[in-house]
Amino acid sequence: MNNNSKTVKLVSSDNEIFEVETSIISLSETIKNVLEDTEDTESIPLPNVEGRILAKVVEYCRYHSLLKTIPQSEEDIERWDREFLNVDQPTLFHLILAANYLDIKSLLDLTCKRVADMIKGKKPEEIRKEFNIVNDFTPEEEEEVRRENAWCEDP
Amino acid sequence: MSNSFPRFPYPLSFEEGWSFIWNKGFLPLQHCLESGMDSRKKYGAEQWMAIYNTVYTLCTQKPPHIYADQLYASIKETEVQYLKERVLPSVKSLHNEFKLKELVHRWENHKVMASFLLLFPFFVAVNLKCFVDAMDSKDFRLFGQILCYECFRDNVFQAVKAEARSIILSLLEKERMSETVDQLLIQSVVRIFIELGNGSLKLYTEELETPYLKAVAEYCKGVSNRWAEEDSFPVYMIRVEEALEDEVRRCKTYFTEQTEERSLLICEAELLDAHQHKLLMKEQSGFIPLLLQGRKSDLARWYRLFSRPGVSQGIEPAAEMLRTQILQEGNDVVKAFRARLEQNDKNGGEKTLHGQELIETLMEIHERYLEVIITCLGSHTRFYRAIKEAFESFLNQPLGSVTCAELLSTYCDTLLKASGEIRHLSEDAIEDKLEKVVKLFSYLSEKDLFGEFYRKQLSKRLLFQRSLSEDLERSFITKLKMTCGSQYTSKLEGMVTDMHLSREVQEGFHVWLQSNAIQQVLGNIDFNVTVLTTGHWPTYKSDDICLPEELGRCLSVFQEYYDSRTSQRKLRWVHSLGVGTLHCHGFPFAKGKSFELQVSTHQMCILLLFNDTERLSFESIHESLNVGNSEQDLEGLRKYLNSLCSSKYPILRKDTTGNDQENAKNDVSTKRVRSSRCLLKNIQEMYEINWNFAPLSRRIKIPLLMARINQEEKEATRTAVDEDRRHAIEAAIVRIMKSRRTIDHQRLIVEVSQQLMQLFNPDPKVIKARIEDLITREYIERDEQNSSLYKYVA
Repeated sequence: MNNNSKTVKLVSSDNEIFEVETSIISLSETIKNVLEDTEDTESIPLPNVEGRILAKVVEYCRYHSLLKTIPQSEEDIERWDREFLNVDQPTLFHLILAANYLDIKSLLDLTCKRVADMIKGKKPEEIRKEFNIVNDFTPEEEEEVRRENAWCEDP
Repeated sequence: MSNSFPRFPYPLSFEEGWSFIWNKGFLPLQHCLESGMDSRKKYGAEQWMAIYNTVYTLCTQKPPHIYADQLYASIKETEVQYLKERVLPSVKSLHNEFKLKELVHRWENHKVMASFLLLFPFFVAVNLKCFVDAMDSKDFRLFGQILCYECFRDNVFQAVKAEARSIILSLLEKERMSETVDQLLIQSVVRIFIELGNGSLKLYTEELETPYLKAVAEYCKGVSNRWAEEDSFPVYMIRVEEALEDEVRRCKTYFTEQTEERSLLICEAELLDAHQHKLLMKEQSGFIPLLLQGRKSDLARWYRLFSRPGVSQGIEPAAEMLRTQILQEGNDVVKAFRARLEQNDKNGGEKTLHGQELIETLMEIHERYLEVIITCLGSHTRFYRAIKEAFESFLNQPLGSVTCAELLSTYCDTLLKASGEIRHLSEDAIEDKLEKVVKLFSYLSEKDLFGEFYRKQLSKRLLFQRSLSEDLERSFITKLKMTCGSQYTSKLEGMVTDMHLSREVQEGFHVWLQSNAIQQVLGNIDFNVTVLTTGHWPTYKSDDICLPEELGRCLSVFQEYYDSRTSQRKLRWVHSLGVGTLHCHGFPFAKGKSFELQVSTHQMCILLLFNDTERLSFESIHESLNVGNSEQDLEGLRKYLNSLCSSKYPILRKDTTGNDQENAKNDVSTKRVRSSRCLLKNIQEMYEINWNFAPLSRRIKIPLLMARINQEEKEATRTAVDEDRRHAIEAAIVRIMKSRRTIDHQRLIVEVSQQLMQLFNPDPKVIKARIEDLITREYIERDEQNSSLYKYVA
C-alpha cells in the first residue's frame, strides 16, 4: 500500500468534505486506528468537528507531516505554530476539542499551552474578563482561596 | 449520512449508549472472531466512527453525565463473561496439540479484542481529565492493557496452564527422539507464557522454565549414566559437546536467553561434573592416557567442556592429575641420575657427571607440558601452578654430591663456553635453550647457590676469553634479572661491564704509552691488563709471586698510568688468573723455527727462570718465585711444574737421577718444610729443559689449571653460600625486628622465610640458630614473661 498517494475523505459535521493523504492525517491516532481496523475506507464521518476547524486541523497535520521529509529549523517551526494559533478564542477552544477527539497529541499540547499563556501573569479579574467567566464565589470563599494560594502571588 | 450513524439526544443516557456499543460493536466483533473471519472486515469506517462517537459522548458529557467508569466496568464484565462462557470451555474440550492450537487461537483473538477495546476513546476522554491531572495518556493505555491481559490469564490460562505445559514438555521429549514436531505451535504457546507475564518473566519462569529445567536434568542424568558406562572418554566428550549444542539450539528456538543459560548450567553439571572423576580416571582413555598419547584435539575439547561455568569442580581434579604426572616423570629422571651418580661415586668419582642429559631431559618434559597447556588447556593459570609445583618438588631434591642449581649453572656454562660441547649450535638455538633454562631456574629454591656457581663460571669464561658471545651473556643475565630482580644480577652485570671497561682502559693505556713515548720500557712485550671491580667477582687470592724483571716493569708502568687516571682506586694484582704467550727458540726438533706457548702467569714465571739456566731444583724454583710456604702453596707449585712436564707437552723434564746428592745438599731446606715424607721427596726433584721437545704445531696451549671449577672450589662455593645465607637471615631478622619491635617466634620464622623465599628456602633450624646468635650479640632479647616473644633492642 502506497501511503503517500492514498487518500481518504474526511466528512465534517457540516458535511464539508476534505480529501487528505492518509500519510498526513495519520497524525491523528483516531483516524489512524480507523484506517487500520477497517478495510477499503473511502470516507470517515467526523460528526464532532466543524468544517472550518477541520480545515485548520488538516493544515496543521500537513505542515507537521511535511517536516518529516523537509526538516525546518526550530525557530521556523515555532514561528509557524505561533502564526497558526493566531485565531479568535472560540476557534482556539474548538481546536482543543478537535485535537482531543482526533487524538493528535502535539496539537493538543500546543493549543493548551496557548491557553496557559493567555492566563499567565494575569489577575483573577483579568482572567475572568478574558474568558468571559462570571464570578460565582462569595466574598468569603474568595478570601479563603486567596489565602490558600498566597504563596504563588508576586511579593 | 447513512442511517448507521445515529443521532443521540443530549444528554445521552448510559443505557442507550451501552446498548448501541454492545449491538454494533461487541456482537459483530465476537461473531467475526468466532467464525474465523478477518477481523478487519467487521465494520466499515462509518460504523467504527459511530461506536467511537458514542463512547466519546458517554465520556465527555458535562457532569453529572460522565459515564467513563461505568463504561469501563461494563467492558470488563462483558469480556470476562465471554472468556468464561465461550473461550475456556472450547479450550478445555480439546486435547494434545489441538488443545495448544485452540489456546493459541483464542489468545490471538483475545489480543485483537483487547486492542479494539483499547482504541475506544473512553481513554481519550479520560485523557482530557488526565491532562488537567498532568498525567500521561500512555499510562492509561498500559493500564487498560494490563487489565485485558489479566482477564485472559485469570479466566482462561490458569485453568489450562498445567496441561499445556505437560503437552509442551512431551512434545520436546519427542523432538529429542528425533521426531518432527510443530515448532511454530510450541513457539506460540511459549510466547503466551511470556506475554501473559506482561513485561515480567516471573510467570514464564515459574510455570514453564522450572519444570522444563527439571526435565532437562532428568534427561541428562539418564543418558550420561549410560554413556559414562559404555563410551571411552573422548567419545563421551564428543557426545556431550553435541548434546550441549543441541540444547543451545533448542533453547534458541523455543525459550529465552535466561533459560538457555540456566539449562546449560544444568546440562554441564549433570553431563560433566557428575561423571568427572570416573571419566578422568578411565584406564584406557582417561586424562593421563590422553596426555601421554598427545591427543591434542581431545585435550582441547576436554578443556573447552570442563572450563564451562556449570562444572563446579572445574579443572581442579585434572590439574592435580597433571601435577602428579609431571612429578612422577621428573622424579623418575632425577632418580635415575642419582643412581648413576652414586654408581660413579662408588667407582672412585673421577669422572664428573655434568648432568647435561638430566637438564635437557627436564627441559624437554617442561616444554612438552608447557606446550600442552598453551595449545590445549587455554593457558589456564591453574595448570601453570601444577607444572610449577611439580618442578619445584623434584628440582629441589638433594641429588647426593651435587644439586640441581649447580648442574643447571654448569649446563649454562656448557652452552655459553666457546669451547663448549654444544659448539655446533647456532646462536639462536643457544638463546632458545637458555630461555628454557631460565624457566627451570625459576623453579629453583636455591637460587643463591645457582647464582654463586654461575658467577664463578662466568668469571672464568670472561677472564680466559672463553665466552661465546657477550650478547648471549648479557641476554641471559637479563633473563635472570627478569625472574629474580636486579639485585640478584647486579654482580653478574658488573662483571660483564668490567670486561667492557677493561678494554677501554687497555686502549687508553696503549694511547698513553705512545703519547708518552715509553713504549720501549716494555720492550717487545704486548702487555694487557683486565681491571676488575672487587665485590663483583669471586674472591681471588692475591699472591706476591716474584715476577721476572721485564714483567715487573710492565706492572709498574701500568700502575703509573692507572694512578694518573684515578686516585681513589687501588690496584691489587691477581697473578693466578694471568696468562701469557712465550716465544720459544732453539729447540732442535722445532726445525729451527720458534713456536708459541700459551701458559698461565705462574707457568710463565717458571719457564722464564730457565732463560738463565738449564737445570733447577724444586727448591730453587720455589725460592725464586717466592710463593708461600704453606702446604697448599707448595702443592700448587708442584701442580704447575707437573703441567709443564706432562706427557703431552713435555717442555721440562723431571730429573730423578742424582737424587741422593741433592738430598744431602738441601738438608737445610727440608727442615723448613714440615710436611709429609711424600712431599719431601718431591722437593728433591730436579727440573731441566727438555731440548728434545717436538712441538706439533706453532702454537701450543698448555692446559690452564684454573679453567674448570674443581671440587675444592665447589666446596668453597657452598661454604660461601652458607655464609651469605647466614648474613641474609640475620639481616632479615633485624629488618623485621626493627619494624615490628616485638614478635613471637613462629611469626618471625614465617616472615623471615617469606622475605628470603625469592633466593632460597631457609632452614628453620638455621633461623633459630641465628636468632640465638643475635640474642647473645644483644640485638634482640627474649620477653621476660613469655619466652617465645622477642623484643628488638635499639
